[in-house]
Amino acid sequence: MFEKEFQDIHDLAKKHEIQHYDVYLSKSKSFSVKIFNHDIDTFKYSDSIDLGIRVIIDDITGYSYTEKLDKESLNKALLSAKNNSKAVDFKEKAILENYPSIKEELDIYNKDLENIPVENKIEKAKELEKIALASDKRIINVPHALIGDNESLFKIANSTGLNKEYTTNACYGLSFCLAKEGDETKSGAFEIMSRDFNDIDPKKISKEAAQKALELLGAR
Amino acid sequence: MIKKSIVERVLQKALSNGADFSEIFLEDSTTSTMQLLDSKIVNSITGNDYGVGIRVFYGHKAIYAYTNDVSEKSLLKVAEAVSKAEIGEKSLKIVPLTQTLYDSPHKILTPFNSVPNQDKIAFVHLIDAASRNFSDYISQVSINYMEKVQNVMIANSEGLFTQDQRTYARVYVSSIAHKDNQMQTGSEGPGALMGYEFFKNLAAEELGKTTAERAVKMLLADYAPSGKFPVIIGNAFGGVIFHEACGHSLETTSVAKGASVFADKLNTQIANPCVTAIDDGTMPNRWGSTTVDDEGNPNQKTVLIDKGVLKSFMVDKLGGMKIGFPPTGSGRRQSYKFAPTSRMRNTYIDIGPDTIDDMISSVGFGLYAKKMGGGSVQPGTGDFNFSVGEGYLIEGGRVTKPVRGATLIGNGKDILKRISMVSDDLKLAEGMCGSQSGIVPTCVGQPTIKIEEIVVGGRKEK
Repeated sequence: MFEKEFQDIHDLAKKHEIQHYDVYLSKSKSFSVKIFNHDIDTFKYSDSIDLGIRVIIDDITGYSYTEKLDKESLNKALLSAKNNSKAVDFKEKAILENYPSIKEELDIYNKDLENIPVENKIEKAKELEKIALASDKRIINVPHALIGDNESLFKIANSTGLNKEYTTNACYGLSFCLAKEGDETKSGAFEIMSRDFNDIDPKKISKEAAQKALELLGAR
Repeated sequence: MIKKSIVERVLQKALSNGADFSEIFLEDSTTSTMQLLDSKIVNSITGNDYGVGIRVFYGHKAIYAYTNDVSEKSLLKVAEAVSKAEIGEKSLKIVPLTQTLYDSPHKILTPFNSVPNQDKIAFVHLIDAASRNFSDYISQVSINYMEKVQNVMIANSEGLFTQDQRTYARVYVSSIAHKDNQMQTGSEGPGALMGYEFFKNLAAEELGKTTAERAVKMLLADYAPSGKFPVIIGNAFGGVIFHEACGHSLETTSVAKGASVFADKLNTQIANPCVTAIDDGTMPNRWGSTTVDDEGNPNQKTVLIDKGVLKSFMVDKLGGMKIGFPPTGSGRRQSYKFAPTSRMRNTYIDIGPDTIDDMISSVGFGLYAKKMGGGSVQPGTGDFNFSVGEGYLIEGGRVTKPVRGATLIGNGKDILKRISMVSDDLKLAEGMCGSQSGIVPTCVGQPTIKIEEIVVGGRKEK
C-alpha cells in the first residue's frame, strides 16, 4: 500500500540531493463504545494516517511528520526535515540498512476481529456495566464500561531500498467502578487486551474492577 | 479549509438517520519543537496535523469519528457511518450556515516564520548558559522549545460556522543539581497564546537561573518533617492542587455521571468563605485562552465557587444537555482526533485579604510549600498526593530553613474547607492537562493560601 506516495518521496529526495533518509507510515483504524446507565454513552471510530520522515546529513538527523500525503505536503515535510537537521548540533551515527533477512510474516493479526458485529461489541460493553453494578450494592457507579478494538498498518522504507510493512490488531475491554460506603468513595479499574474477542470476558473484568474498588473502602 | 457547501452536505448526511445534532471540526496545525540537552540541540521536529472530526448526538449519546482524508467523498462516507451508529426519531434539516468571526483579544505580533532559526537556537542556549553558570552543582539542563499554530474551522447543524487561529509559544526548562549520589531538579515551563514576541520578552537568563537556584537549594536542604500540620502553599503552580483535586470534579464530564463529589452540591457551601474560584478562557494571550472554544462558542469567564458557595460547573454542549446548563465555552479537545468535553482553561483561586507575612506569623510549626511539583489524583474520589518542589520549614511564626522531599496528601473536597487564609499575590502558571478529550494547554493559579491542617509526608519526625 502507499507505493505511489513512497515513490514520490524517493523522487523528491533525489531532486533535493538528500542521500540518506527513511520514511515511516502508520495507518490506523480504531473503534470504541462506552456504556453508561445501560445505554451508549460514547461511540467512536477513526481512520487516520501519519507519515514521518528522518533525514540524515553528515551524521546529523532532522525529523518532520505530516498527515497530508499529497505531493506538495510530502515535499514540504522532506524540506522541513532537511532544515531541522541544520538546527541540530548533536552527531550520532545512524546506519540505514535494507534488512533483507527480516521475517515477513508475524502472527500479530487476527482477521476474525474485523468481522465482529458492532452489536456484539455494544452488548459486551453493556454486560460490563451490568455485572459490576450487580456484584455489590456498594458499587454505585460505573463511569467507564468500554469495549474497543484497533487495527494498524505500519510501513517503513529507506534510501537503501528497504520497503517493508505489516498489519496488527487487538481488542480490549475495560471497567472503571466507584464503590461508596458512608461518605467514602473509592475507585477500581481492570482491563483485558487480546487479539481474540472471546478473551474479553465481561465477568472477569467487571468483578476484578469492582473488587479493587471495594477493597479500598475503609483503608487508612 | 473546506467549502461551505461541502460542510453543509456533510452535516446533513450526518443527520440522515434521525440524529438531533451534527458537527464538523477541521484542524490544520503546524508544530515545531527543539530540544537542548548537554548544551547541544539534540532534536528538532516539525509536524503538520490535519484532519476532520465529525460528531452527532442521538439524545444524550455522542457518536464521534475522524479522518485525515478531507475530500467530499471521504467526509460523506464518514458522516454516513456516524449517522448509522444509531437510529433516531428526528427528521431534521440543518440550519443554513452563517459565518461568524469573532474579534480576537489575543493579538499576535511576531509570527514564528518571520524569525530566523538561529535566533531561536540562541534563545535556548542563553537559558542553558545562565543555568549552568549559576552553580557548579548544575550537572544537566534540559530545555524544550515549542511553537504551534492551530487553525480550526467549526460548523454545526444549528447554523454555527466559525474559524479560529491559536498561536502557542512555550519553553520548558529543567535544571538538575547533583552532589555525591543526590540529585534535585528545578523546573519552570512558561507559555502563552502568543507569537515569537513571547520568547523575545521572556527574561531568558532569569529563567535559567531560577530553575538552577531551586535545584541547588533543594539539593543542600535537610529532609522535610512528616505529620499533620498547617501548610502555606505558594502562588502560581500551587494552584495545581485545586486544578487536579477539585477542578476536574467540576467539569460536566464527571458531574453528569454522578462521578463527582460536587455533583449535587450546587448553591451549597463547599469551601471556606475565603475561597472564590474562577475558570476564565477570555484572559488575553494566556496559555489556556482561546477566542472560541472547540465547539465554536465564544469563550467565557465562569465563577465556579463564590465565597465558598458552588455556583457553576464547567459546561460543554453535551454535558450541558445532560445536566440542564447552558455551555460555558468550556468544550475543548487536543485535536480533531478527540471529541470535545468540558475542560478547564485558566483556573484559579481568586485573591483574598491576607498577606504572606500574616500567614507565616500565624503558624507555630508548619511547612511553606513555595513551589509545588507533580502529583496524582484518584478520579471520582479527589484523593491526591503532590510533591513539594521547593519547601521551607516554618517555626515560631518564621521561615527558618529549606526542606526537601515533602509530599502533601489529602482529599479535594476536604481541603477546600481547610483553606483558612488567602493572600493578594495571585499568579498563574502554565501546564498541559490530560483528560478524556486529550491533552490541552491550561493555566493553574492562586495567590498564596494557608491550609489549616494537612498530612505531610516527609522523612523526619515532627
